[in-house]
Amino acid sequence: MLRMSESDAEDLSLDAADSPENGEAPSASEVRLVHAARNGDHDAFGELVLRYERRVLKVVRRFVLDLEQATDLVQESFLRAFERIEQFDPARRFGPWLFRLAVNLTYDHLRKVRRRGRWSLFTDVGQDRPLDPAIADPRGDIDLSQEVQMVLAEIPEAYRTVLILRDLEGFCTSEVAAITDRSEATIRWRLAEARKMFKESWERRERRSSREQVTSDE
Amino acid sequence: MECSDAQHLIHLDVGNDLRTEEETLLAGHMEDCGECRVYHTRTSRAMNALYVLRDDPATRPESATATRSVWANVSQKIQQRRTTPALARRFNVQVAALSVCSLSLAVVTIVQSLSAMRGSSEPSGYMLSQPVSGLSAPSLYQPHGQGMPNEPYRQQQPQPIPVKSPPQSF
Repeated sequence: MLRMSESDAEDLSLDAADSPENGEAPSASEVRLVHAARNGDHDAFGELVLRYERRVLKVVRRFVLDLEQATDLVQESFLRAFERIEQFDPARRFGPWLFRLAVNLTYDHLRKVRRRGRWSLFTDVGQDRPLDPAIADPRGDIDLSQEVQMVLAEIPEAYRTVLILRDLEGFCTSEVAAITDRSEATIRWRLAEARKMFKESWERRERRSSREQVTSDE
Repeated sequence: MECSDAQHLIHLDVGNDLRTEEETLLAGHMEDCGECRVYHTRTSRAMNALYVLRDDPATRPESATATRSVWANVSQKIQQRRTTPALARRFNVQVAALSVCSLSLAVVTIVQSLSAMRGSSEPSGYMLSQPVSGLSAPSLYQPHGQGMPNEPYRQQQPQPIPVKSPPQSF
């Protein structure tokens, strides 16, 4: 049997995700900047911010569509990175570490929003929920990317993250492993499962659309 | 290889995430299995739909960041945090205020219940000197001489206690 469970994959991990051999080695200029930032060089940290801010914002916006909120989260990620840069191991790459901070902050934000929605008497949170693919979409002119977004939103968080980072943001599996703090074996397993979930959900939606098409033609 | 194993590999193959030996295994299985070939085609089609989001303008940051960088704000906040002591920064005023309110409420409750307990253990003047059945509404006003309007205060005369005479048996 080739297939294994996620826990099997976790057991097989040899902390592969965190080893500096994984992925590309940090570039000389990045090492220099990180070293300077660790020594309190404000401008060096500014250089790192300028290098990464667009990419971090792009990743955060995969989870939080509102630009203002996403920008706030990016700012907070850099602030946290600055505060914790002492804890960063300079032998590793700065990017995955920074993305991990940003993704974790984004998750915290989303959980907070969900919790607020659950306990408040009047809320708009529930209205942003994606539509169920099995239920007819009242908005007939919805475009393809919105449909894909809805299907994506149905996938559980841990799997969706892997799918977004690998298939939409183009990180390699070792980088995804470093960002999510999981072993590469776990990430490969989750990636396969996430693609399977997406395929099934997408096909369900397609079947429903074609059924509706037939009904409207009749 | 079973079809379920092949399908697991197909999910990785559609994103070019297979290792060389896995590719060989999958290719060998797919040569003989038409069902898995169809599964591969369908999975690729679903993935192509997902890739639409790669260039989704909603998540494209170019337009947003071309005008302003977050560095100005980040830099300002770093300066602020440097000047504010860490303890003061972490001090949560809301939690402290809530604790003070709860504590005050608790103290008031305890004091009230203590005074109520003291009141019930020491019989005081009027209320306990009357039989319970005699506590009609107007009588509550009587001890201070402020009875109900138009009703004169009538003091009850003490009834003489009857004394029994000893039995005269001798």
